[in-house]
Amino acid sequence: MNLLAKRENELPVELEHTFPGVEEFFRSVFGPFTPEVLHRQHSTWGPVHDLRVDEKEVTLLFACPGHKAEDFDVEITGNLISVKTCCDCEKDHSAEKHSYMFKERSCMSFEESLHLPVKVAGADAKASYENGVLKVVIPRKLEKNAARRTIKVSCGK
Amino acid sequence: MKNNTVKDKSDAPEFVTLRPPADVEDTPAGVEIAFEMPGVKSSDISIEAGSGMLKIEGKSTLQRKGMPVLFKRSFYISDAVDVEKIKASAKDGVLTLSLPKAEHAIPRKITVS
Repeated sequence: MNLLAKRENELPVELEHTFPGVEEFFRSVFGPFTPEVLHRQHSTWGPVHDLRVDEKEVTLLFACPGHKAEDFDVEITGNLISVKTCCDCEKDHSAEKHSYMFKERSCMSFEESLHLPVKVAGADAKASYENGVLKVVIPRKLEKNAARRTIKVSCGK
Repeated sequence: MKNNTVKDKSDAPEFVTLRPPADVEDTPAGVEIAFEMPGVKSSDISIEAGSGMLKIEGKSTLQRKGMPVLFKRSFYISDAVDVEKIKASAKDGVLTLSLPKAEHAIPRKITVS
């Protein structure tokens, strides 16, 4: 028996209210080449990351729901940060073991490396995992003020 | 009386609304739905069930384009779901809902004498 009987509200709320049926129309015409703007409300949370830089530290947020803290390997080499996770979710949630009516989540292993835009003190970095978000906070390496030098511009003659 | 009230939207919080991906699994006891909602605390989740609809909403600590993310999704549910017994739990950014079958929807075996 299908408990989610009738249908599912598949269309994004805002878009559906503004232009009813427009998304289905575009998909029927363009298929996989549907304009990206129509997908903006559809979240595809892979390792989506957010980078914030302030005066003291760099904060990186990775949205990785369904993992465990011990699944993550975080490495910092110079200004390069690598985040790696491997989990057994793929095996646990395989279609063979479960009778899915539909499956959209993709809890999978990933590896991502990023060049940070500022110099950081990698040895003092801290990482935490809460509510499906991996947060890495890295203090910035203080740069000594370079000596200011004024260069006079002489006339060409 | 003419209503001249103008809604002041200046104080209304602005969100980027996203539809969380979901897995829907059919089990002997009913249906289990798992939503990916990273950055959402259990205290920031609201679930409404009734009148043939199931609505979930969760405010995330994540941001998109400088605005907080609001996860929002709704399903139509049949009257075979026992709405009073729906259970929800949130862990590691995943909201899991258990929708049990109503008494009248559970198949009964009848022995032929």
